[in-house]
Amino acid sequence: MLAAHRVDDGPPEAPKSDGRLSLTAKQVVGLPLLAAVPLLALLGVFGERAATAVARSNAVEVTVTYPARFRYRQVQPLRVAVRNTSANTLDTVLVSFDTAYIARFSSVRFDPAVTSAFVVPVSHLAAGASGLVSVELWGEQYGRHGGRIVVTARGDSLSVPISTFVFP
Amino acid sequence: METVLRVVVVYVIVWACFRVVGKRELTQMTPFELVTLLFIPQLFSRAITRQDYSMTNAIIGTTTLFALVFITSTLSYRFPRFRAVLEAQPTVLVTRGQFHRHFLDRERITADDVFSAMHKAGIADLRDVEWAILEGDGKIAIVPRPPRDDGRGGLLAD
Repeated sequence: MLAAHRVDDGPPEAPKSDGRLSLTAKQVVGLPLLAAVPLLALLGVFGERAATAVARSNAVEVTVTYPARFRYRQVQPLRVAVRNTSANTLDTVLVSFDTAYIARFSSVRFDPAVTSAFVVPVSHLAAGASGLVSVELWGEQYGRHGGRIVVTARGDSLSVPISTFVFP
Repeated sequence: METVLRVVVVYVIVWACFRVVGKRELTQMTPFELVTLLFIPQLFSRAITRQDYSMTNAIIGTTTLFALVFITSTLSYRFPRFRAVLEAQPTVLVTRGQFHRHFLDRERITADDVFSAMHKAGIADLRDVEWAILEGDGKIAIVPRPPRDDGRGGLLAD
């Protein structure tokens, strides 16, 4: 490899030596920590993850898909699917979001729109039909944010606990 | 306040990484390392962050970069073949006062560059140079010719 860069009567080469890895105490402690972060990241520890919670009552089945963790200033969806499991049409199903939970995020957008403080009505749900409520969450405050989604139909209430961790 | 805290956190992390990796990365930058350090923030920052400006992403990116620097420097030290691939090899530009025109052309080093290095080494005449070597870090090392006794009490170079 060196021959292409050298001349026959060039300067003497450095003596060959067996390079052995030698670490200082700081490196013994620090290098595993240094390596751990990207390795954990590769394993998805610091990545986005969605979770699903399902609850049922006599009239409805609720499936909540929510971000279990995501990063600061990223946008993640929260979806509440309400299925009418009864034999009759449900005139109104109310999906209520915990104010304390929603307040931890910014630029929260509801589809359909809320009628009052974080309550979304799903109207005229025929037997066997499903309604979907979508929410976009923008991670503004980091840390763990817990809350509940309460679905009320025909006087029955279902409560689904959710928890989201926002990385700083 | 948050900005200050974030800067402090990044500063401490970068400092700790440099302390862990060692002095070599601070003092002996090869052209490859220099280009990497200069261009990555400018050209690839958006591609790396993907609009993710979280502290978590910054820490992951920083630790990944430092881990790569340590791995490559360790492999380079431990395995000469790896070093030969990763780092530039020295090139002899002058031998005993004679330019190697082929190597000068290939490395795009002018005679002025060699003379500038000679002057910094305190040598004015090319004939007083035993070897001029373009090192892997891009610097030209000058090895002066040993002075020879002319038999009359003075020292002469060939």
